[in-house]
Amino acid sequence: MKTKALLFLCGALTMTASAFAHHNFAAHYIGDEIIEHTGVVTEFRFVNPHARVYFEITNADGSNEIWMAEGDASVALRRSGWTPDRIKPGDSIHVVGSPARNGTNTMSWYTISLGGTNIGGGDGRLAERAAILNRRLAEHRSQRGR
Amino acid sequence: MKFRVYAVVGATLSGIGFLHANLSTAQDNAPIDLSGVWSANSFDTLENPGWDIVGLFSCRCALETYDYLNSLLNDRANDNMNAVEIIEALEEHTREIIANRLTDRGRADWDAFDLADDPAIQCEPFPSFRTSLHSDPIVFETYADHILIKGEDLTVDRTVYIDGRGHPENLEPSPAGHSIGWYEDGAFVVETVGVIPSLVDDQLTLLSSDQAHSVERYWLSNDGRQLQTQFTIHDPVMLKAPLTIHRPRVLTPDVELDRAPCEAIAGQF
Repeated sequence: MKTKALLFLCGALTMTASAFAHHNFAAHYIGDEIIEHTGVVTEFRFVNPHARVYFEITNADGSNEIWMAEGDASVALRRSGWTPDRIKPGDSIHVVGSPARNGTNTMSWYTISLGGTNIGGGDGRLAERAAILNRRLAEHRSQRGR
Repeated sequence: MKFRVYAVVGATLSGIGFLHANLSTAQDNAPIDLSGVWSANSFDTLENPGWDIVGLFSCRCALETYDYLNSLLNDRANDNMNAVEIIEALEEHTREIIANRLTDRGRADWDAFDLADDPAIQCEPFPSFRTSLHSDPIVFETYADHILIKGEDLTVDRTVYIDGRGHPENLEPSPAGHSIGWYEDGAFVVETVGVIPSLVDDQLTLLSSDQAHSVERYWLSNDGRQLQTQFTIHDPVMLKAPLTIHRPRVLTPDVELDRAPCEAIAGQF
């Protein structure tokens, strides 16, 4: 069930994203590896240092496993409009992130798709930051030297 | 023009003596109003009108890295770089500066440090140095004899005495240490001593010794919307020369400090 792939963008994000986290995600996760899981939420912990979502996946052999994905801090998520019920038990989610260094069923999350829509909220939210910064960078370059 | 010599002499801690000498106008040494909530360039502040392009790309980076940032932003030869590549280049630039500045002992500790040993993972509060460098919003509360610098969940509240006292002798090291402050050349200057050996910053993976002390400078931009901050750590055990980390913040009056508790991950999870 575990799909493993190297995604250049997410790998590039790993190193920089933790600049805004409460501790460095590289402490627990292998930033240059990406895994994906689809499962059903069992619990969402809207806490510091990082929010955590627990979810159950079903393996190819029919067995079930509980996984945990770690995202941004609740203080940062709250400022972006998140509430403790942004993700609820029973929600079906697709999570993309990096696997744990210690081999446990834990991962960081870069993106979480809920009902087919990426709701973000992952480690440092650099993907969301990058979109804004690239827009401002393009504006700067177009106006530079006029 | 009235000149004043400001000196704190003889505050000896762990064998280190400090001397601050400043020669400037009395007006330059007037207090500055730092009230308000000041935020770094976290995701939720990126549309704040106080940011210029340098501020948007600012980081926990060495002062010298900002020259490099300016070249990345303004030299057309670098126009092929996207935002993530610029951010990564800045962090690598600062890491090289730090690597070249470490003493043998500092380098050994830098190489040996495992991020999994970061006490913050277990919700242990940040000591003063890490608090100063952290990305969360901060506020300054001014009282008669001190200024209180407050941050969010894992940071330590920092009391900065502004009544002219020096550092106490035989200070017992603590996470907060002991801070004194004064106004100088339009900036609020904070000197902190007596901080326990600790992780200065998890991104920089820089560690401090019991000989470390810091000097911070805070000053406002002309329009009052940016707070420039410089944190300089002096640590003869870990660093061959002082290291200055620069970072601007913007005024975010709509932000309230969120002091939600920290919940460590227990067991397998």
